[in-house]
Amino acid sequence: MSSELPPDDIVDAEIVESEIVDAETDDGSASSINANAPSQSPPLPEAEDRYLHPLSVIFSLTDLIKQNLLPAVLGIFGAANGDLVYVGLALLFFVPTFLFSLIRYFTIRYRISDGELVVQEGVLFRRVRTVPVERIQNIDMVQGVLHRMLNLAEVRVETASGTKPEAVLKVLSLEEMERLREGVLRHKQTSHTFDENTGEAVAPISQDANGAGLSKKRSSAGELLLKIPFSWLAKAGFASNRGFVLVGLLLGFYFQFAQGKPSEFRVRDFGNWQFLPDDGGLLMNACMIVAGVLIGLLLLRLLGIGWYILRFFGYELRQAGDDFKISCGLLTKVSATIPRKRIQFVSVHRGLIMRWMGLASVRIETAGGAADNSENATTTVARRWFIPVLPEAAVAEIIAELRPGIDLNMERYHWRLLAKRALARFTRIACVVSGAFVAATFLIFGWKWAIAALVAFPALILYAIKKSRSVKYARTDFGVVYRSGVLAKKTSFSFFEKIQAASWRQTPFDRRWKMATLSVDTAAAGPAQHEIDIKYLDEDLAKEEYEQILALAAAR
Amino acid sequence: MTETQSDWNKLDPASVTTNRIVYFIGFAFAVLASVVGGAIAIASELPEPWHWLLPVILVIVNMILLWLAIYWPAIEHRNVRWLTSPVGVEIKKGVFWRHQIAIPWARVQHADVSQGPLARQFSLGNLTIHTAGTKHASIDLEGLSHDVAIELRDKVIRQRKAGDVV
Repeated sequence: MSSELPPDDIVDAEIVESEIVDAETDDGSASSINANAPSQSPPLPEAEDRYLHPLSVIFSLTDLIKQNLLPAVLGIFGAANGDLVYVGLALLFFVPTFLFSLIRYFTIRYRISDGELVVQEGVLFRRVRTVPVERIQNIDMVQGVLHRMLNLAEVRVETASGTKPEAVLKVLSLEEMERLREGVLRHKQTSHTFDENTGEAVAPISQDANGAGLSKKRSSAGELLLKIPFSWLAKAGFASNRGFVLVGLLLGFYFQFAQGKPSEFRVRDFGNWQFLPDDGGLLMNACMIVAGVLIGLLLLRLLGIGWYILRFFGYELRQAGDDFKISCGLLTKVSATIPRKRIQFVSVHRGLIMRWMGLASVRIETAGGAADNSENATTTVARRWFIPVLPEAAVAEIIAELRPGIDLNMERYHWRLLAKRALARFTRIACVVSGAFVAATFLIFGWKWAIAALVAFPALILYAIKKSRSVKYARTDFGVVYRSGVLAKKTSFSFFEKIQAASWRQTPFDRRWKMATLSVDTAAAGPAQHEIDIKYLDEDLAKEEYEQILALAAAR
Repeated sequence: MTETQSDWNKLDPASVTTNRIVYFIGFAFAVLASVVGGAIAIASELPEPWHWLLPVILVIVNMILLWLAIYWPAIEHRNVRWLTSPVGVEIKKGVFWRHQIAIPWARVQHADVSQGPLARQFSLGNLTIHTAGTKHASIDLEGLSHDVAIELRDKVIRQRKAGDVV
């Protein structure tokens, strides 16, 4: 296949040139050329302008309304009251913006030519964006319910730069999306072989994986690595605190609308309920409250389960050669591709309840989309929730797939702990904080409560002890491994060739305690929420490790 | 560690002067604000302790600012060092809050030299090194002599290995 490519590319390039000339002189003639284009080279979608799917209109309209809720609501409100002024204003706002977006959507065209993805948009102000295919990190796909009914998808093309996708194509038919993906994939493959011929330095791991992967790539679906059954999702949802987020929203609404009649909602009013016996009031009330709290917690957990199932239903992780493919979602379906060599950071999270159930989740970081910490479906799945849940026993196996050839036998690592003085330092902080807490309680509630507040001392000191033991650091032959967390434990792996900078720092307190913070910076640090920034290390250790990390990172 | 100690470079001494100028401009504003603020406060008949306490506080604060404007640039200058080694660039900063960062040559994306109007008068330059990192996506080294900054930038770019590091 690769032997056929060069002549085709040349022909394609010529077509492109003529098209650009046409496009500059007259828009109409450019589109007429396009109408002929498919008949010229059916198997190769390259160099031939492609447009968005016509149904994009619907999605652009819904997006427009979503983004401009206020005028839309005003319009509807006005219509309901028979007030035509508002309707007129809303129309005045919507019609031109809608027309603009229509024009915008129908002037977007894209093509792959000469190893570049070219996206062109605009009529008066034309913008042409050229993305070298080599630099494309991944092509992600999001499908809402409506998209799925119509066999369409929103496609995002991501590169390493910036926080936003390089190009968003809303919407393409699934066929079209597959064509785009294939086109990009093929270009990547040919350029990889080119790299090998010239002996260009590509990361060694990805190179041999690439060689092995080429044969596998023929089956486009790839080899199934992991499938998450419903029961795991339910467990993970149960263990998660997702429900609290939703309840926060509900409480916001509640306080917004229940302001007028606050007395109805106070806890002690439970005692006034008619069916409660007068004498056993206290006990009954206590039981009621406990039962209420339990039911509330259960509901929270159910909400968490609901969120997990909505997001991750039918989760599948596949490996196609050098790429990992994820697809999941009950209503909104997401599928994302992550090239192995773009993985910057791997992090294993084990929350308290998840640990009891022997489960864990795996997060990764890839360059691009770095600062985007929103719950945006694609970003969320591809990075923050790379694997939302899997049995602890399977973690090592998956990481071995992500990074072949690394030693995952953590017993053998040379773990370094925090400075011995860290415990003393934490204990001192714990005492100061609990002292302040007790004093505040005494001043506000009196001595009875202050005695109860004394519990803070042992609790915080215990936490200090646990914390001083929970942090571990190891420098291995592939990179830096960092563990932390008292209740929710996190273990993160970074790799020397992905380490961008190493640093240490000291506050005046650190200097007094002869400690320092060791920090390692990687691209896209964020989604995994476990930055390698190790405080309270022994000063000498931190400085020594800093030197070592620098030397090892520079050597890759 | 000991043999590299001598390789640590300081910033250009002229940067002390420019910093001092900047600090003195800040100090001038502070004095102006204190005089105006103090005058208004005294005119508006403050309650008992404040009408003499406030001017005293303002004078003390301004004395401290003056001391900082005179001495701090030199103290800062003494604590900033940079070094280029076969593996990368290292920068050390900070008087109380200390910090040292190392960037391997291969991780440098690009480097800029910039010059403000004051820096131009003293032929100083700021070097900014960009990496693909997150927290340290750009590292500044302010107050080099312009020639050194240019030289360092060229060195940084020369040393950077070709290839995609992300």
